[in-house]
Amino acid sequence: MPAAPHYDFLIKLLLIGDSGVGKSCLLLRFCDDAWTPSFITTIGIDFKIRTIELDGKRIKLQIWDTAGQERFRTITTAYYRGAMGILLIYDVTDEKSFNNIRTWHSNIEQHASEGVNKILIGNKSDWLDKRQVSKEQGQALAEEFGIRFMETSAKVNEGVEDAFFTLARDIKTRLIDSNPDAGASQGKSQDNSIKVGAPPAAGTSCC
Amino acid sequence: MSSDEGHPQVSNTVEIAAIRSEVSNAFSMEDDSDGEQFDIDSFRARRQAELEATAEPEPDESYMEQAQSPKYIIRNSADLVVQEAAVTSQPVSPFAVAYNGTDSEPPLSAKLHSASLEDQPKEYQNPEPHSPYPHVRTTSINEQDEGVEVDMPSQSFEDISLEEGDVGEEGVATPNSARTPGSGFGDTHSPRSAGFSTHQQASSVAAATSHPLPVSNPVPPSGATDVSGQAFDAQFKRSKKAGGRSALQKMVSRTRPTHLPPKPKEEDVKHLKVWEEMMKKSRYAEEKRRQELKRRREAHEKEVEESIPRWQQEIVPDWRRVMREPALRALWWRGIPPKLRGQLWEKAVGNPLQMGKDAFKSCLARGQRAIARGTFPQESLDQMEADMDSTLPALHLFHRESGVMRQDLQELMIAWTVARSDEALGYTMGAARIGAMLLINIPLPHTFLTMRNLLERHCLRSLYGGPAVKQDVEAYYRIFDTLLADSLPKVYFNFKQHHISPVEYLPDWLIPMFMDHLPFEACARLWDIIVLEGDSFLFRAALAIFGVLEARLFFPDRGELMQVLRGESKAAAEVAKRAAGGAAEIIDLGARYEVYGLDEGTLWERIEASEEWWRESTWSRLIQRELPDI
Repeated sequence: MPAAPHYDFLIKLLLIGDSGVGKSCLLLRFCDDAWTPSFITTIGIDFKIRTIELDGKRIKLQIWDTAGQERFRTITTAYYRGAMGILLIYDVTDEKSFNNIRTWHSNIEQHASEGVNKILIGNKSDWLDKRQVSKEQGQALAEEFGIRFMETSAKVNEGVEDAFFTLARDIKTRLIDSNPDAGASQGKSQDNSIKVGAPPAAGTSCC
Repeated sequence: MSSDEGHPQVSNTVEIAAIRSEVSNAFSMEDDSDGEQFDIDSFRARRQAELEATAEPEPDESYMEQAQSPKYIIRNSADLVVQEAAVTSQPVSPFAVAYNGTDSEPPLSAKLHSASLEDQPKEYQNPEPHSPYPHVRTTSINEQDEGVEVDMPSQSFEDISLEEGDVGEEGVATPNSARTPGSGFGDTHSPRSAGFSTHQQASSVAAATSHPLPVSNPVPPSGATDVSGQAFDAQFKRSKKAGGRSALQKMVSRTRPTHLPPKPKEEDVKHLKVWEEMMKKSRYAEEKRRQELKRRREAHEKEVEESIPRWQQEIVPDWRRVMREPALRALWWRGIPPKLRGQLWEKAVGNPLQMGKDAFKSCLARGQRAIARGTFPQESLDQMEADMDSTLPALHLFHRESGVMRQDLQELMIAWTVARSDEALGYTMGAARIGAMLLINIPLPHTFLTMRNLLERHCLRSLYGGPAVKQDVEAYYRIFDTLLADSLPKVYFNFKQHHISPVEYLPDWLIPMFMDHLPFEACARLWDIIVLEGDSFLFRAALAIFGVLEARLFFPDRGELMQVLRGESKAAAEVAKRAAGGAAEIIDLGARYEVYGLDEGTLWERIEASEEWWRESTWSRLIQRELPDI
């Protein structure tokens, strides 16, 4: 077991939204500060990690991204299990992806644990001449769900950091600040870190 | 089907007539088995084609029938191959493929005359065509067929897929076929069809030299007045450009078996037209079926979703009610909502081993200590890693470097191996599949308990048990064979003919509990019922798989059958790829039988159909008979 943990808390985040809205691009921008215009379909369930610092604490974000595997209902269980935050993403140049957000939202209601933090993201905001969904529409939908809303552009790196940091801060406030023991014990063991959001019985073990 | 007094050119050779009779017998058997799965539309079209063909002014009935029958074998052995041709949308004569189907016929005569007549392995003997039931055992059939030792024309998927190119290139229907005596049949294959076995090639030469076949009058190619003619000309030019074939090869018809006389042109055109109509209907029917399955799948998913409150009220608090109340049991059989799956699997598998809560922790700690000290058997570690690497690769969840659940799986596998080492058992390949499916549904450390207890059920325990319980495993094979004979006698019969016993496929299915062969969703749903019903459902599911694959299990060739069972049928893969490209749907999660169109819908059709004949009492009787000690 590693003696010195590289982080204080681990947070599991999910990217959810239609295929092609730019989930993987957002992930790439946030974790590797890179951008690729090419459309590479994600293989299986991918994840990336970035450790950020929030209020003096090192927080490891483990961000899951899928190639539409949520479609496979059996996998949703593993996918949503232990997720603490979800980024609901649509493409501002694609109205259909915006309309589908409702479906995704009800999926979350059904599968994710209660109280999971969510944020609505309108991606590709740089693409002004192709825009089909206005900022107001996005805002209105977010208010209806009672969640935050942001527009981002993975391409020009606009709002990406902000979106992830905002969500991470909300989660930290909800889970860690209100229950300091839960977070601290997790930092010690990398192996059990995934289970931060799991029921306390499963999360406190350390070998 | 066996009027042998056919064409004068043919009937003058007694041997040929005998061969033809055998060949058509073989086909007629194929035909029998085919009839059941054939959709009615194309059947009608086919029937119509036959009627039209027989209504021809000057048809030779016997050869017509034979020219027709290879079509059955094609629909039968690779139902999609004909579609293949359609996909390329080139006008291809049905009998171009038919010719391929009978390509191995020349060797028949060679065999007939060859000195090694007696040496032929029994499984190659032509089975008696009308003995559909298993009580007709192999031996009696061989006796009946004594003296007529003929290879069944064997056409593999591979061969067909290789030949496809030829069909497009030179297999186009032409009425102007010509044949020359003494031409080596092997030569008539384009270089691409080199997939034929050497013994066939050799026999072909023997056939050509020792037994010249009748010749028809060479007719010079006429003008391009019809589709097939045009196409032929186009192809002819192309192949001329390529310059790969001799003048003789260009003249040899690829549209029908070489031992048959050429077909009049009008007839050929007509057949082409009829065939195209058939294909259209078949594609339409296929599309309709696909949509219907999709609709049903969606309806089913919705139904399961809507049943969640009922599950939560009636089953979650006391799952044992399922065993008492048929309505709840039926609900369980419809599939557990994914959200509740983990906890219900856990409950249904239970803890007959009465393991303690800390079992996982202590086993894992022991394992990790052993690894640190280097006392963990390296062989087990290597197997474990390899097994995990090949587990659900398309999901990426268990990838060696970047799989987000790899660590969990590794811990589970280490702990499981340690627990088994107490019984002096090592790692068993396939265990990582079980671990993966369980982990996806049940988080650690509960996964460990469920895995240990699940694999402790008798059938799985035997399969995972190593050489000490070989007897039990064999008993299970016998049980499966009996069930197969009862439910799919023709498949059983063909397998017996070719010495394929359950040991060849059953452990591959059962050890990973179908994870390698079935699509993930379908597999999870099978597990729902396996955890509830126990070992008998493992077998019932296996029979359902055969039910779906049935059309592909009548090959008269062992290698071919094994390819199908291993999920390596190349033509099927090719067709599936093309079809998927058109539908643009994510289907591939790496399951081997996905290429055969096996999915949740088709599998459940079969499982539901098995309600009619499956008796749990048969199962318990078989268990009592074969495994009296348990």
